[in-house]
Amino acid sequence: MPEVPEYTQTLNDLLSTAANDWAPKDRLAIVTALRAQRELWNREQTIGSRKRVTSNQVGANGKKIEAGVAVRKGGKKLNLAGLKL
Amino acid sequence: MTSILHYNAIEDTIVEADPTTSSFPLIPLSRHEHNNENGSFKDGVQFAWDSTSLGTFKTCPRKYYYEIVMGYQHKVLPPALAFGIAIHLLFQTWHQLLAADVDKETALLNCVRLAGLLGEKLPAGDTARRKEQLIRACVWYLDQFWDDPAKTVILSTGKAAVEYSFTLPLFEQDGIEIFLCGHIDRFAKWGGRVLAADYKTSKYQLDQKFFGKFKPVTQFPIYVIAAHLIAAETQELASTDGILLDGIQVGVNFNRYNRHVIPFSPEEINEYIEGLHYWIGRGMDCCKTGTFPMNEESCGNYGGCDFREICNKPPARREAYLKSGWIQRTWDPLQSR
Repeated sequence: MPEVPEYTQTLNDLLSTAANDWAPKDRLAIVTALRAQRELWNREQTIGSRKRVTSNQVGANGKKIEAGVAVRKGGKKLNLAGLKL
Repeated sequence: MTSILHYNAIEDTIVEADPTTSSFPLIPLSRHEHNNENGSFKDGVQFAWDSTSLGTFKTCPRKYYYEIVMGYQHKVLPPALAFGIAIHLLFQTWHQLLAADVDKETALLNCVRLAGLLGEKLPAGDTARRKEQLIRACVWYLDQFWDDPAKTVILSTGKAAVEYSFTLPLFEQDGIEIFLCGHIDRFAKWGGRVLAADYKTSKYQLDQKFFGKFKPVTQFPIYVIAAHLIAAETQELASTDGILLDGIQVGVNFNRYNRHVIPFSPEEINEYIEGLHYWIGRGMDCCKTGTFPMNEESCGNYGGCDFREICNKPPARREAYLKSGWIQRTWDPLQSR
């Protein structure tokens, strides 16, 4: 069975939470991720690609989440034993 | 006293305050609409004019009647207008924070929180103008202009010259003193001169066609005239000969920015002042006679006038339609921000 990768929190996850609850570290993560998104988008523009860089494709750590990499929400490993996958 | 929630941009807290008296560092988190008597009218005639009321009159006297004289507006703000208001508040706050000696990184983090709070109140209906897009527009813009060569003018009070409200005597028309009013987004020093700066958002490319829309236009010559008058009166700001226009293209997943200076020569300004005499005179005539004819040629412009759904009803039924789907608020150019 292929290993399920750890869930990567995305920019979209960060932005989906209430701004009222944002601590400075949350805002810093948002800024980091938005700066990364800008850099990735600029790169696409430079090579003439029309690819979008959505907030789901940028991790809260500022890293790009490659297409096709499975992610799962919740932050805990699912118990897949006994399921017909 | 009406209290609404405000964001204290320096202390990074949310507090309740009276929106009619609150000022920086308190930033209102929702719009306070009032329906008080309109101070810019006397005996039913408008004597204090800003670019919104003048532009609306030029577009269509009937639209002016509904929107400015009667104060009708949709119950929900159009998303483009709401987004533009939020962007202006964010950049105004940024410049005010820097003038208050808050370091840039802290100012950015506080603006991000403010963008989130304002973004959560944006009306639905436009996927390019939601919370995510507002925060992105703010962060990417501030990154692009982190070391902005256009320096915000600091007034003698120590405050940034942003959202600068003015009410200036302009000329007399039929024995009535006419005032020119408005709010200039920012005064900035750039290339050895002072410019009145403005922000405009668009979904479209920021090309020559975009910037070409802003000359001729009603709004900017008014700012240049105002800057001349303010410079003569206060000695605090130098006279300006142009507008520093920051265009902001908003997409669902990206933003682009472009900056142009739109120059106005003294000859052009004199020509605009002649136009002001003419149009303000016509507006006052309409107010005096109570006659506000439709300009049917404007009904389809910019995606269609909001009041088309009223004007296309029989005259006797229009009032009922206005009462059911619209709210009334006072658009008073004399109100400072």
